Amino acid sequence: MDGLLVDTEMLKYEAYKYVFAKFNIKFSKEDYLKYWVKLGIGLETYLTKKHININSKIITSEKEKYFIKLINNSKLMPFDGVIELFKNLKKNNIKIVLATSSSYKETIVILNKINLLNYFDFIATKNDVKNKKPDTEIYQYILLKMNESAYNCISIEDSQKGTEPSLKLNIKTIAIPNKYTLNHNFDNVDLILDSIKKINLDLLNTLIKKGLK
Amino acid sequence: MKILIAGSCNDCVETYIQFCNDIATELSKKNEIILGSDRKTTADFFVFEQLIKQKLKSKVTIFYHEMKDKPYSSFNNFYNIDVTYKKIKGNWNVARVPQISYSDIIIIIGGSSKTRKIIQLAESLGKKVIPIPTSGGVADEYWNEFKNQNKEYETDLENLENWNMAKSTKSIQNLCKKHTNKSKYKNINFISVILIGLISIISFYFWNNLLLQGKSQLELIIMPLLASLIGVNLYAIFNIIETKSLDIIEALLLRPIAAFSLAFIVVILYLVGGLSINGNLDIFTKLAESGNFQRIGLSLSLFGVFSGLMIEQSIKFIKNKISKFIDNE
Repeated sequence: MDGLLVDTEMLKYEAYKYVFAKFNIKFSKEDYLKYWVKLGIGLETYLTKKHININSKIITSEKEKYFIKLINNSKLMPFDGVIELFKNLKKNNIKIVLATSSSYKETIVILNKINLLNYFDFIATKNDVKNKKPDTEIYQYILLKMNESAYNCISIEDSQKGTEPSLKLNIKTIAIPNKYTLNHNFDNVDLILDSIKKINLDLLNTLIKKGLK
Repeated sequence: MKILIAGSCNDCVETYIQFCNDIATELSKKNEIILGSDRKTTADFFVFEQLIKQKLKSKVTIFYHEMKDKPYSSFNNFYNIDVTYKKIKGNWNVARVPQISYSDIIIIIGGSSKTRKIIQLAESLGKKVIPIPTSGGVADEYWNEFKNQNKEYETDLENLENWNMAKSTKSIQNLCKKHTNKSKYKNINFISVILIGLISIISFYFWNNLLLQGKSQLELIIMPLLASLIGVNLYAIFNIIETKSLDIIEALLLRPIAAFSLAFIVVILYLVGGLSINGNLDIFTKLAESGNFQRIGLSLSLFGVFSGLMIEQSIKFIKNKISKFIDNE
C-alpha cells in the first residue's frame, strides 16, 4: 500500500523521527529506507541492532498516533492511475485484495483518506499475521481465507520485501518500484513497470495465462 | 442519530442484559439503532429482543454478511420495529467498514477481541466510541482511556459508573450529542450568530412590510419565501440553545436553499390548486382587496416557516425512503 497506491513513506519516517526524538535519539532517513522500506525488518530488529533499549510497543503506539495525525492533516492523494485501475477491476468483477505490513488502524485511515476503502474485497494487515513481509505468511493467509490458488492471483508490489514472498508462493508478480525502491532487486519478477497506469485487463489476462502454461 | 451497539458477553449475567435492555429502551426513542449479529451472546441480540418487547416503535438497521443468513429472521413478529437490512461482504476488516461508516456513535457493552477491532476501526474512521463501564471485557478495558479523554463531562461519566437506567441513559445521550457536535459542527462563531440574527430581522422587516402593504402576486410569493428564512433561522437558534454548536455552512447556505425551494414548491402548488379549483385566475384578482392578501399571505407564510423548521426532517425522510428503496432493489 505505502509506495504503491499512495506515498506515505516520508510521513511514516516523520512519525518515527518524532517519536525517537522524544527519547533523544536521532533517526535518519537512510536508516528508515534501509531497515523499513528495503529489508522490512522493522522496529524491533532495528532497536536491537542499534542497541537502543526502549520498549518497541511504546514506540509503535506513539508512532501510530502521530502518523494518523499526519495523515489526517495531509493532502494525501492516490498515485495516478490507481482509481482508474480499481474501477476497471471492479467493473470486471475482479477481486482486489490488500496485503500490507501496516497496522489495521493505519491502513483504514490511509485508505479512507484517499477514498479507496470501498474497493477492497479483502484486507490483510500486520495485525492478522505473526510475521510481516518478506515472510510469506500474509500471502498464505489471504490465499487460505479467499480459498484461491496462487495461479489465479497476481500480486503488485513496489519493494523487494513484497515481491520475495509473492514469488516464493508462485504468484505472478508485477513490480512497480517507486523513488525509494528503484535500487531494489526485482530480478525474478514477471514484469517491471514504471507506473500503475500501465496495468490493464489485457496485461493481467496475459500474465495469468502465462502462469497456466 | 445513528447508534451502533456492539459487544458480547461470555456468561451473559443479568446485569449485562440489563445494560442492553436499558440502552435499547431509552436510545431507540429518538435514534436509529444499528445492529449486526444475532448470536445469543452479543449485545445486538439482547438489544433487539428488548426492542421487540417494548411497545414503542423503533427504527433499526441490521448489517449482515452476504454469506450468512439474514439475522433475526426467526423472530416472527416485529411489527413495532422498522427494520432495514443491509448486506456486507469481504473479510472482517472490509465488511465492518460500511456498518461503522453508517453510524454516528458506537456504544460498546462488554466485548472481546473483535470488539477491540471495532474500536480501532471506529477511531480510524473518526467515529466516537462510548464504552459502558462495568459491562466487562473490552468496554471495561477501554473505559479508563475514554474517561481521560472526556474529563470535562464528569457528571455524565459518574452517571455511567453508577448505573441507573434514567440517569445513565440520559448521560449516554448527552455524550452522544456532545461527540457528534464536536466532530460535525464547528464552534459557534460570533459573526455567524450575528449574521443569523440580522437575516432574521431583515426577513421579518420585509415580510411585515409586504403583509401590510403588499398586493401583487409576486409579493404573495415572496412572503412565504421570507417566512421560510425565518423558519430556518429559528431552527438554527433552537439548535444553538440545545447543542451550543452550529454548522455555519448548513445554517447559512444549505438549509436556506432547501427551505426556499420547499416553500416555493408549496406556493406554486397552492396557486396551481387555486387555479384548477376556480378554473381561472380569480384568486389573484381578489388580491386587490388587502384583507384577502393578508389572509392568503399569512397562511402561505405559515407553510414557509414550517418548511424552514422542518427542512432537516424532510431531507432525512426523503433520504431514508431512497436508501430503503435502493436496498430493497
